[in-house]
Amino acid sequence: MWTLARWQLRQVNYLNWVMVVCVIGWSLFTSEPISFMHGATMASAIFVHAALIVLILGSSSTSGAGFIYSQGFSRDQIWWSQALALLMSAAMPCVAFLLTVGTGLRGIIQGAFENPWFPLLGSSELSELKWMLLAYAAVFSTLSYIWIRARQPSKDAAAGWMLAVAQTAFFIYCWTWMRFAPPWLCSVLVGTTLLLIATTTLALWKFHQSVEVQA
Amino acid sequence: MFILSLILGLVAVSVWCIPFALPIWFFNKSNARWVPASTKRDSVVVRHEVATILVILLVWGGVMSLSGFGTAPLSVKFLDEGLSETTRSYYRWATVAGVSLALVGLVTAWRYSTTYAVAGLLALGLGGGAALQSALSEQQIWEWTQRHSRGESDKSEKLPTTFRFQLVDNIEGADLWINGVYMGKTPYETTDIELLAKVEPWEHEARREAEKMGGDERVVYHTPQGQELTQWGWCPLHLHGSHDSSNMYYRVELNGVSGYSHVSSQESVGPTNSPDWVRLMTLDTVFPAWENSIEELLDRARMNNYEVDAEWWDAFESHGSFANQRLNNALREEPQLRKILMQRAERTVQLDSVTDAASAWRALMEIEAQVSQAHEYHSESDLGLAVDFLVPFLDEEQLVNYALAAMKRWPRADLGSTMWTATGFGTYGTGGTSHGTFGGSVHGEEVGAWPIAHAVWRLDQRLDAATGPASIQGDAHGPLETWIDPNADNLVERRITPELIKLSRENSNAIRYAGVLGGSAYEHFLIHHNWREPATDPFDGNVRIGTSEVYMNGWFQKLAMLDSPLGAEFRRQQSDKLLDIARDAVDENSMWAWSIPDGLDYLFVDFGSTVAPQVNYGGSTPSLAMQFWPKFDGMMHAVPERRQQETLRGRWTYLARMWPESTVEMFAKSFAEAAENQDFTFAPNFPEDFPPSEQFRILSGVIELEEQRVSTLREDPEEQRYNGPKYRAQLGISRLKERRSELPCVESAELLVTEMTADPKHSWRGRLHDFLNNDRQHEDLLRLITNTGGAELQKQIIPALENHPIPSRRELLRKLALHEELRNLDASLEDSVVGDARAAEARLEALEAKPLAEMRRTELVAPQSDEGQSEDADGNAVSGE
Repeated sequence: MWTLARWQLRQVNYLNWVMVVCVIGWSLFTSEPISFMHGATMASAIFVHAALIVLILGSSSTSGAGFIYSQGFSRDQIWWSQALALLMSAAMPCVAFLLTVGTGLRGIIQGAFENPWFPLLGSSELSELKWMLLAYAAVFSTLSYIWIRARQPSKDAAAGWMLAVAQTAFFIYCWTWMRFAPPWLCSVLVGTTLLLIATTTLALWKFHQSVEVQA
Repeated sequence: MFILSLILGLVAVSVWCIPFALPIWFFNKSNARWVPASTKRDSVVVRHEVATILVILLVWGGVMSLSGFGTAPLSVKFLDEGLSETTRSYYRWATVAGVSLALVGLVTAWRYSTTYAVAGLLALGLGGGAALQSALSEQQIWEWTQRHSRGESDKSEKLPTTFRFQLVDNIEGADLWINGVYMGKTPYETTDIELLAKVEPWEHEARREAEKMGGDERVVYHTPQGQELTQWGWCPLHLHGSHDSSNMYYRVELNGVSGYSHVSSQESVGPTNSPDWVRLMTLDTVFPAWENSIEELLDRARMNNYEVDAEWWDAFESHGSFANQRLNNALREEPQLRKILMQRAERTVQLDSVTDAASAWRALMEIEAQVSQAHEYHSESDLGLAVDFLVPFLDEEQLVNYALAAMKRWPRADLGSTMWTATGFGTYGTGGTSHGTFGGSVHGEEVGAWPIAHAVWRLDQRLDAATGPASIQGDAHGPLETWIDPNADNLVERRITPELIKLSRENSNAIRYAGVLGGSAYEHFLIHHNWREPATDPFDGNVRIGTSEVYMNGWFQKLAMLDSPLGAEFRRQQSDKLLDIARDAVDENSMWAWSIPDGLDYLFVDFGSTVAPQVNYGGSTPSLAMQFWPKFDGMMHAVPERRQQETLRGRWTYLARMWPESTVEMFAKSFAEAAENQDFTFAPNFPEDFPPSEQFRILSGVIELEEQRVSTLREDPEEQRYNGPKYRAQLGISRLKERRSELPCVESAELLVTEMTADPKHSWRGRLHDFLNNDRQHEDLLRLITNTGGAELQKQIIPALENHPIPSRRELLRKLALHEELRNLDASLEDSVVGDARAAEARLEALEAKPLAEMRRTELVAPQSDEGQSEDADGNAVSGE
């Protein structure tokens, strides 16, 4: 499984390292407090990174996908290795963020630049990690469904695409609202987002077994 | 043109649709290559997709419905009574259409295609939302136009305005007359059209005639203190919002007893544009018998040194809003009454059970719960006073920990605005539910954070007072950091301020609250911001100081306003820039050149500062205010002559704020210049908190210098006997002396008594009675007159002693009543003084013995309507003779 996952990761590693470098540079040198909710930079970068990874790993239409399906691996093995690769891809920028902010490196550098927010903020920006992970999970599940659904031996192949549009619009709506909403409403919106991620992931797990590979 | 627009519109829609439609085409085409046309959708797929759509619709719709957010189509605004029926119908139909669309979408997804269902929902939902927005905007513009053009259109088209007339406390059954026409009993409701049909407008003369017919005693009601409580018999009624309804006068009787009115307040109640929308006219009519009872209750409180019990409160509260209004008015002149308010607060929150930190904490939690429920808080309310009472008992660590938790619970609580006034906390604490915004946004449950923030603020003040003035001395003209002393931080500044600054990332108001609490974290935060470039506004609001081309940098302004060693050093280092900005602000302020422009408070921060003197200017360098004075003074010369009195007030206010660095000569020079340029010059008032003894010192110095100046003036020619320079200067001096005599301090009292004793024709002998009756703060004058004033003066002060019977005044009254203790008895008046004093004392003793139950509000009883009789202060009928 791990070998398979590493093989999957090899297809997207260059993207992950680019993202890691961006995260390190941005988290060390941005002078404004890092806030997922109050700035579009982090959300946009995560969306682009996650979308490209899903396109490469999840579309089942690349030459790599065709090759792997022809090597005798079970569909479950392939799916889990993909999930693991996605997880690793999300983890790499998050770990980079954890290291720069959690070790205090960001605080030291910003302190040297006389940023007024430091050392006051300390490592409190680490709380943004949960939003990063949630964003990756939302984008991975939503966009993966487009390809899984399109490759089902079932009519209405574009349903995954339209559902992704609706879900993305809904997530953006939640993201906008949570800047102003009281804590209980934030919990409702986060809860709904988690529910959609969970049901979509379950659907992905269920449907991957009947996916038609067309590499 | 229309066709071109249509084509362009179609092109735009097509371009917008491409990113959505192309993938649909691509996926369906690709799928069709290998999926037979007869294949049906997998049931699990369908269930998953329909469930996803349902969840999104439910949460999305639920959030919009609950929030009342903007003009969201599914908002429950169709239940909002503040909107017009048409607007509500738009919302109603939009909701019906939205729900129908959602159902159709779900059925389509279930039976046919998720793609078409979602595409349809998005297209029709967004399109419908935009159409609704547009229709609502047009409707709102139309309604606004209709509302604001009322009366300008033809009268036949004018909608009637409903007026409801009511008394304070909504007392029922009082008779209401308007312009001599009997209207009915309160609460009385009519429309402006009916009113104008029934009542002829009165010119001024008509009102005077009506008042003459009513008898003079109807016009003015003298309170028990001899004040004129009201000045109108027929009180003017200003019916805003209704044309042709000026020249209206009203009067009220309750059970045949005349009421006395002064003004009427007006507010709009009920949903706009609905039949229930009315203009509520609250008439401030009072009834002498009730007013007298309230005054007796206040006198009872004064007799007991403002200590009152539950029975007193029961009697007082029986008078409802009449009593509260009276108490609020009395507070202005008699701050000792705050003691009573504190006792009411103790009753409200049962503070008598507070003995230790645990009980104090329970009381604070009770206050928090009450405030959260009421969505209302003010530091001057009973609950606010209770918080003041509790703070010394509270466990500091517990309060700080709880405040930190509250900041997490209500991260968007508007704490900054609650601090907007120096003494007020929660200045505007109403709302919340009416906005329907989840009860957690502006002024919702979060108002519960205000008493906590208030307690923290008070705790910070207590801790600051305990540690004394800040005394760190950094490098003079060196780095600003050296002037920050983290060791001087108290518990609040150490723990709360940093968290508030962090919180300001998502709630910019928090930075204002952090500024009020202060501390080294806040100071570090300020100096590391870019305060050097002009007009770089901080994120918590714009600063508009300086010229419109280059406003003051917001961070710079915060640093300049700091009351700390860092602030003092910053002002010292940046004095040139600060003076330039002040000059720009004064030049910009040419319209109101006689006053100190807003935002220049930094000139005066060093006066009354909590910084140790050695840290501050220490007298070696002139303060910013002193450096800027020549410029400000010079600006005053550019003001037109007719504004001389205002310029004098502006100058004296400026000089008073920089006292004691300013000198008597500076005051005198300003006064002399004003006196030379105008006919009448009044001594301007000093700021309210300026000590009277200092005022006496300044006024005495100014009088002396003015007298010297006047002695050098040559005599006025005969034709300028009453408007020549010397005459005007002498008049100015007499006004200065008047003002000096009015000061409530021992120096003024001694001088006045000496002068009156020496001069039997002294002008103050004639006005002493009224002056003391209207002023509650002249204890020294009363004491001196009692001891050494002479019988004629002593006789005049007896009403003041009786009408304000605090223990010290009763003591003086007793002294006057005891013949043998008087030293300067005037034989002709001796008996009269003693007799009056004894009579007054007897009345007070009777009042003291009077049961409180008799002072409760009771039904008014009409006086006998015998000819030649009128009402006395008690509302009882007395003979006209």
